[in-house]
Amino acid sequence: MMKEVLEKILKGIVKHPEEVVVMEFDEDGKKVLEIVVNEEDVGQVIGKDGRTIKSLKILLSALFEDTKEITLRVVR
Amino acid sequence: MKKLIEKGSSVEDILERVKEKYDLREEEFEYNVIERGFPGIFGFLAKDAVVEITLKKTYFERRLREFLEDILKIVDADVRVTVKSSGKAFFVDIDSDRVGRLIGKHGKTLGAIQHIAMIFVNRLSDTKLNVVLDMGEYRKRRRKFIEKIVQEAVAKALKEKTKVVLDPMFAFERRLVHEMVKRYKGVISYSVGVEPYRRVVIEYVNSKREGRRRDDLRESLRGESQDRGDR
Repeated sequence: MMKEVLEKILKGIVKHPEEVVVMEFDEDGKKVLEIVVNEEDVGQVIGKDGRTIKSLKILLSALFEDTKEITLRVVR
Repeated sequence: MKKLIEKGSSVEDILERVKEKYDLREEEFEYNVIERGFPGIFGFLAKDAVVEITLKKTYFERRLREFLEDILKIVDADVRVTVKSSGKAFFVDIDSDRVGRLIGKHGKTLGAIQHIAMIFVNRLSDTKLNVVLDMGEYRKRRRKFIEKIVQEAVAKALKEKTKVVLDPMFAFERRLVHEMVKRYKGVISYSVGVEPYRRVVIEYVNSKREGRRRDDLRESLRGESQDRGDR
């Protein structure tokens, strides 16, 4: 569920929406979402001073209130 | 906001393809035929059609509204998103029973949604567009509150010929403070400290001094550029 939502958002903000992949899994009891995007979009997804990735995390935490801790990772 | 030059076998072909690619509706674009095109005779003399297509602002408004509704419906299936635009500014209003949750602590979530909305519209557009997002008049109320803080601080700075350090604020709120302080004579404002504890200082200055900021304070100049980059 969270994976689909994050994919939807990412597809709206990257240059290459068809290359967006999100993997969702649990790690040490925490929710981890790994993001893969086209090389050209990595900077956009992270944003200046990590602002965009932070915004994504804040938004996801608000949308999924019951999930205690969410970690977002951009994988190269 | 966006112009496309497209080539294809016929004008109709091009329009169909572009409408599908951009999820574009009939009333959301205008087009100019640059080259009619010619199918050719037995494969000879064929010529591509060329069309210039201009996407109208209604297109950007609808796409942004749908994008936000699609995401926020997870929290509230009845969420209502309204988007209006004026020039390069897009004003988004979100109305929901769950507005408190969508605003977040100190407007943190509201800021995050605005930031993502901004990237979304700019991805669709050639020119830089700005997004201002509000929920349940949160920004309006916050502005009033900040206005009150500034009035009190300015009064104190003037009366005691001193400087007043405000509580930490978000960049867009600090920007509001700087704008408000500009309206007063005898005080200047600048920001000090590092995020997330960056705060505005309102300082008394001799009335002869012009400008609202101390140019001898490198710290404040650094902050100025940082504030400008934020929204």
